[in-house]
Amino acid sequence: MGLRGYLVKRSINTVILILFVITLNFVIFELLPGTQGSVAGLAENPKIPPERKQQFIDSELTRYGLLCGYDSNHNPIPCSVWERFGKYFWAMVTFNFGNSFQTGDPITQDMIQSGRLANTLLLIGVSSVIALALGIFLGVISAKKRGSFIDSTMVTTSLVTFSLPTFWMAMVLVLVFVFWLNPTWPASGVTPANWIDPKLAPTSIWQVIPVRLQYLFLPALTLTLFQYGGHLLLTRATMLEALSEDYITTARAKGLPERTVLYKHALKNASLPIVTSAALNFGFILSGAIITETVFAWDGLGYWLYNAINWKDIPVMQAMFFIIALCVIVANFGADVLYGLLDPRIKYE
Amino acid sequence: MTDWRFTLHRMSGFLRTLFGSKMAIAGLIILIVYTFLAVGANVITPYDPETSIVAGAYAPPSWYRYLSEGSALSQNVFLQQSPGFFSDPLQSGTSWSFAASDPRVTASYDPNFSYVQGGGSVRVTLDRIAGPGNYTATFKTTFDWPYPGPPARLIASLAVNAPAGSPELPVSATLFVERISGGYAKWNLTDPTSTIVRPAFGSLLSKDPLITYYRTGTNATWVPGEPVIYDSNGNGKYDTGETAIVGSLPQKGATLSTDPNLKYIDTSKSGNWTAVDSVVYDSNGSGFFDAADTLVAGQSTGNNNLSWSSYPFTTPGWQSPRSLDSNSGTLQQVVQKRGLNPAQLIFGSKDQYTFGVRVTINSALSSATPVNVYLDNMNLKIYGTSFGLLGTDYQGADVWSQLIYGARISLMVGLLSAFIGILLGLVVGLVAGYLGKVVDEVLMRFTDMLLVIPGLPLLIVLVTVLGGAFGSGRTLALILVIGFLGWMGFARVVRSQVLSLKERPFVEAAKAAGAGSGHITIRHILPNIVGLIYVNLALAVPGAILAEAALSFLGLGDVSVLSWGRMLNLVETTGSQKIWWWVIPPGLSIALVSVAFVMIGFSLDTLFNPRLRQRI
Repeated sequence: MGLRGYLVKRSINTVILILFVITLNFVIFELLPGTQGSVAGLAENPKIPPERKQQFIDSELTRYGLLCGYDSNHNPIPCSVWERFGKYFWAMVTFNFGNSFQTGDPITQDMIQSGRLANTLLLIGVSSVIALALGIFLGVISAKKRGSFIDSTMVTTSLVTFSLPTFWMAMVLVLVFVFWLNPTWPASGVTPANWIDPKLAPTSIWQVIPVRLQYLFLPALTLTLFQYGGHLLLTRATMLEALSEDYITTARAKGLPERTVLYKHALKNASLPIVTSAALNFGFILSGAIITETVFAWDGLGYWLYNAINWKDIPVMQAMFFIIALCVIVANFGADVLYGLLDPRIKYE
Repeated sequence: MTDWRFTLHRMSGFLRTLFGSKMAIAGLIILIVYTFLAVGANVITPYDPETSIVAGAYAPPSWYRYLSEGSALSQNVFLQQSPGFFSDPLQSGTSWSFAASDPRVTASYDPNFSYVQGGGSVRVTLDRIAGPGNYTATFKTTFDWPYPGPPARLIASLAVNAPAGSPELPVSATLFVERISGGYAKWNLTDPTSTIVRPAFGSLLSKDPLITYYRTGTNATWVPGEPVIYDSNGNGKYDTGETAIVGSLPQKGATLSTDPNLKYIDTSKSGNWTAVDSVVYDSNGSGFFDAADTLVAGQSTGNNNLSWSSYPFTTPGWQSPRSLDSNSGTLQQVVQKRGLNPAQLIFGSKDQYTFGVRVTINSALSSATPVNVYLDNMNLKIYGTSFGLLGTDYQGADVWSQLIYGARISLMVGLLSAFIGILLGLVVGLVAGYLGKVVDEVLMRFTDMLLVIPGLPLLIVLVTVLGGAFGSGRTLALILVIGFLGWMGFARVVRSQVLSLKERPFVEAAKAAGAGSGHITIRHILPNIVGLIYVNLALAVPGAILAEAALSFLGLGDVSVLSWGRMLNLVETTGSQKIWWWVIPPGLSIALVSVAFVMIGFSLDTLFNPRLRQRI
């Protein structure tokens, strides 16, 4: 089987996986005990005018397949499980997630227009890039000085930051940076609270950027520390393997400078698993982001999910779980494709 | 006979090899310490982790006092560890003393009559033959306040057994704490509805900016919005002919009374007072309410124990103990207008103090029967601003107790979930590996799918949904959910091992001997992966502990028990992020226990996989 067949097989796998996630989501939220009648929570939302309440609930119930019309006595007729699954499935496939219990707004609006998605992408993007660069750089040094004091220190510290509870690491960073070093440093939020008022929000981008960076610093640092250890250890391991290969001996025998040997020959060959593992670790990073955003009240998808837990906002949790799983599945697919495209040595079964 | 010898020999050999590795020893020591703390939590600490208030809120650890920043911190001073008079307090040699306004009031110790089981009480006796009158007796003790800084809170308590006979025989009791060296240093907490408290004649009236005085002599008409009026001759002093206590609220436009039974009213609230408000007066004329001043606190409408209706005691017999608490709402309300805490106000510095009760018997008749008032359960608890090994949390509970009780939950959840996960993984792996074909394909596809789905979000939604169904047994829900999502990795490992093992000659030999697949799996394949089970069990525990901590931190844990994650959740939800002695210990414990399990797992791994030994 060639690359083409491999891609087709991976695509089919991915589609099956997405179907599995949708089914799982349906089973968890619709069939397990605990969520029945949760749509009624919408009725308590003060944002919805009372005269529209019943209509609103009806439309929500219909969307989720909990209501299949009324009988002659105006009693609601519940749908069968299969009908419900059908409607649910269609809603998920069309990204029609319904309305949030917290705001009454459509979930896609709360997610994208409110800037939450952008906030999360900013946080994850910045920290992942820094963590990847730092992890690879330190990993190469660690592999080069294998067995030395520097090596063991770096391995130990990365193991420690890798295994510490993320939320605790974040809290300790707040303790050190905010309460001990600089009490004026912002410990939570994305932007200053008074920027909501358009009169107080700065207009020039040169005023905005430093403040936003200030707010970004601690969450990004937490997430960077959370990630770099894995990259460092992986880089060190693949580099050690690459450095023991014959072509490195050849390169050294040719008299190439050590830097060239290290970065041009060894790292280039060692980098493939690192790049793909970065993509494969997407789910892991998202888990870290949920916790980090919670500690720093960083108004992204993770903090939204946390608030949804407290509000018992089932539609948001449903949508978030689906989207996070979808992102991870797509990232996995991407990593596989990348691997297949970049490494000509791979043989496909 | 030889069986157990062999087992013993094998075990000792195993342990010797295991302890050859420093990592294993370090990991085991950490684990043993935490297990010991978790198991012995009720023996090690007498306090309930959440409900026992052991010191002031946010008290740093007591060792912090030896550092320069913490030198002004105080520790708990409890007059008695268990209140109650178990021996005669009136004997010479005790710190208690008794004084009476009249020789007809005497005190003695009654060893058999007590509020506290098995103790005695102090009996104050008034001989009523001499006739009616107001008799006062004081029963007090002295104690040291050895700290340079103030305490966080004080609670004085007392149980009184009053005789029947009201209203002809009203009895009242007032608890007090006084500073011995300062003449005015009285902390006089009493019930204004029972006792008329007035400043000494001739003393200066307050210069406190919150209190305004009006002359009742010249301006006897009530003007709406005006504060209280009680200086009748306008000389700025409280002297003969003046009274300041109002029995009922004046109506708008009413003429103020010159009745000597007027009551104090909070002058800081113009126009809008209630009869139960309190007043503060300035006894030393410094112009501010300070340590030398007396606070007269009213009975608040809310539920607090600042003062009680001791006058008259309407029911004879032991009254349930009353206490005066510096955290009481009324007291705080009055004092905090000046940014002070009542406990800080009185204990300004190292000194000797008096704590006692003043009993007033207002006898209206002469009678041959003496009156007995019994006092018991007297105690003064002064909560310090530092406590124990790890200080206190936002409500004054012991962080150290929380930590060791938390170890119980965290270790239990970690071990049980890991156990469930490993067991499931073992079953799935064995079945898939040994049966192969369609079963293997289906099981492994399912495993792969679960492996791809991000773990934390799945845990979050499952616990949220199932937690409601489990209700109060949330810890069980956590254990099950974490366990049931933790088997996939191990199932893959077991499967691959089984695949390689089942091609070995000994399996073929067993097959040839006619063994069924169940027998082969249990008796031949399973013993060969026991090492794997141990290693993966040790490595699965940290993941489970971290998962529990993360879920509890997000507020999804069991709110009826304290785990390390929930401690950090409380830090976050009560806004206590800067309380380092509360933030650091739980997270550090999570990290230490996780690392310990990882170290043991790695050591076991090297033990069972000799090939790994060279690669360190």
